[in-house]
Amino acid sequence: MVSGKYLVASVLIGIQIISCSSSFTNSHKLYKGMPAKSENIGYVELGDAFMLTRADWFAEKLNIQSDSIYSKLETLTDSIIFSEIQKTWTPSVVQKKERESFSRETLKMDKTVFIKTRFPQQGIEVPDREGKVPSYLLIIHEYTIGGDLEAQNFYDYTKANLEMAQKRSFKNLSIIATFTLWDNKKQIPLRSGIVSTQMPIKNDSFNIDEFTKATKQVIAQCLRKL
Amino acid sequence: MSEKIIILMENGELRIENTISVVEFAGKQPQAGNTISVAEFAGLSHKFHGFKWFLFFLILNSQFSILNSYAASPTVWKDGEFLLWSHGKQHISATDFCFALRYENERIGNPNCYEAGDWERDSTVALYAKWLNANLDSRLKAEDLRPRNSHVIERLQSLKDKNLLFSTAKDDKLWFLLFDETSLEPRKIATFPLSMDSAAIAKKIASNWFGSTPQIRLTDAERAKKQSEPDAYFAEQPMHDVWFGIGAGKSRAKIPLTPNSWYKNTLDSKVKNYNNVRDSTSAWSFIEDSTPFYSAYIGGSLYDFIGLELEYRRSVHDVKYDKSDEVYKELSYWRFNRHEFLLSLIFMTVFKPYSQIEIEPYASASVIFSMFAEDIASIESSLEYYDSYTNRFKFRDYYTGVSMNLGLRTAIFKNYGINFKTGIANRGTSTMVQEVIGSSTTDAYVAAGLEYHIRWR
Repeated sequence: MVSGKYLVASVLIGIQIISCSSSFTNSHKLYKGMPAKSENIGYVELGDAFMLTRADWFAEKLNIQSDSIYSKLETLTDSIIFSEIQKTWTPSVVQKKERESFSRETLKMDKTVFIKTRFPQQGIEVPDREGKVPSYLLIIHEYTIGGDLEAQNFYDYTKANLEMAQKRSFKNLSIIATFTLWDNKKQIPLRSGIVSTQMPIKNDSFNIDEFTKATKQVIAQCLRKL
Repeated sequence: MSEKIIILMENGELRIENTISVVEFAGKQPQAGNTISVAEFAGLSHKFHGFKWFLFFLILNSQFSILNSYAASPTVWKDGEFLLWSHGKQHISATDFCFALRYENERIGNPNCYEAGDWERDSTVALYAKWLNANLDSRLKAEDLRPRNSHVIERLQSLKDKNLLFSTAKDDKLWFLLFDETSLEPRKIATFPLSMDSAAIAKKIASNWFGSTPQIRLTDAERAKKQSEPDAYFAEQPMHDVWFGIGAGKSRAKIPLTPNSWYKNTLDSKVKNYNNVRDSTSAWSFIEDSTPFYSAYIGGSLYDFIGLELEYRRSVHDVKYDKSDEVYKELSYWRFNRHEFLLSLIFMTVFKPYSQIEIEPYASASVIFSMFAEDIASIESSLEYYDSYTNRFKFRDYYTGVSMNLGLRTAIFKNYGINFKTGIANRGTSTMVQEVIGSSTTDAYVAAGLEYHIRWR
């Protein structure tokens, strides 16, 4: 009977593994795991990676004017992410204008899963705001905020192009992010991944604290995957 | 054992230079820089099941290690151009390299080697060179070393038939990477000890990578034409074919490589008194067997695999009578014209060694419809031996038979063909028939034909 229990447990674990299959990662052959605490990590500001869907809904709920909701939430997200990374390393900020020189590429995560990436050029070390060169960069390629979004609909081409009804209200706040830990000295992508979070919205009410909480959840997931 | 393990011999110790997989290696985890003694190595080499000789070979060649993702050698061009592109100090001189190419491959013509100044001066390309220098690592494969910058990619693709040899010093080694237009990743990678001189490196590279038979370089127009040629996959699609041709050959009753005694009785036989032979089973007891024949044929095939052919053959056979015999004094000549129709079922296959030549071996089986038409003339109007003359032997109206054939058809310039074939044929009558003249007549033949083909997909 004991073995029966193990069987049930392993089946359950198996189901869980399958259900988590939308969060993929991809490592370079020479990746040796998360950089040490002493390492200098540059956080590349979101810039055009920041994408807010349902901007009007957020403007209404957070009581921010809709013409400034984009820039305000972007700045807020940048600062939350930076402070979260600070808990692990001593990061520095790489300005979003550096992104302009990055090349747009596609990275394969799995048979059907591809992400759009923004990688610095080969041979060029990207400086931070102070002009120093961090050993690693944390680059977020796409950071999508919305309601009831599924990561696989964005990055799995077999599930893309689904028509989705625009709902007046939604059950969850969704954040999907694709990221890469970049070796700034050798210019190679060390580890890339897709993370997403779903935060239930109760009674159609939403505030800035919940937004912060969801952002923190995504970044925690992202750091766990390194 | 597909893992790459490169071992260098240093002061009586073997150094594991590179390993991809985790192999139990004298109790040590194999990592670059680990050392084991020769004795240890000898003790454990049996674990490698025949891989030992390969390792032994590597030790002999320890001055030179090649890491490769491609087994195929680069195309060697006659009078080719070689660009030497270096990051940092130059480690191979153009003169040495060209000398080595000519020395190692005497068919290579007059290669042109020069420093790739415009590659070294191009700032974007220089960034890739710097990146290569930072990333060269024996654990990486060629595909991990691809350029990402579109400008560098464009430049590599516009190399045409030139070879680009990149060199740089990294980790106490000299790295040589060969690029050409066929691939974005390095086609070949090799490392040498830092102390090795230019001439020795040039010799190794020339003999290992450029030793094969050179090909003639194409002009821009020829390259463009080659680009527009259909994909090999489509070129190999089977074709349908219709042909007609004329041919000539020789047939005889004696089948090569078989004993003479089989035919002796039949071939030595003579027709006596217009009618009598020792054994009338074979037509060759009455008439000459060895004779040329002429043919015309038309045929067709589907998918270069199965076909039908209808052939008409004509030959003339003299009757075997003794001219010195009184009985035949009155005869001017006596012979039979043989007319045969063969309907063949053909199975074939097609090889295309060159673009304008197709070689098609085939095997076929034919149904034969065979007739003899008598051709006789007497010298005098009144025949002395009239009774014998009127009662002379007659073949049956027709005979049927089969023939087994083998052939080789060579088609040149798509439409013109030369055909050689050989076979054994037997004709006879039904066993129900009372008269037995020619009830089993066997001969073998060789023939050649000229054909015109109409081929389509």
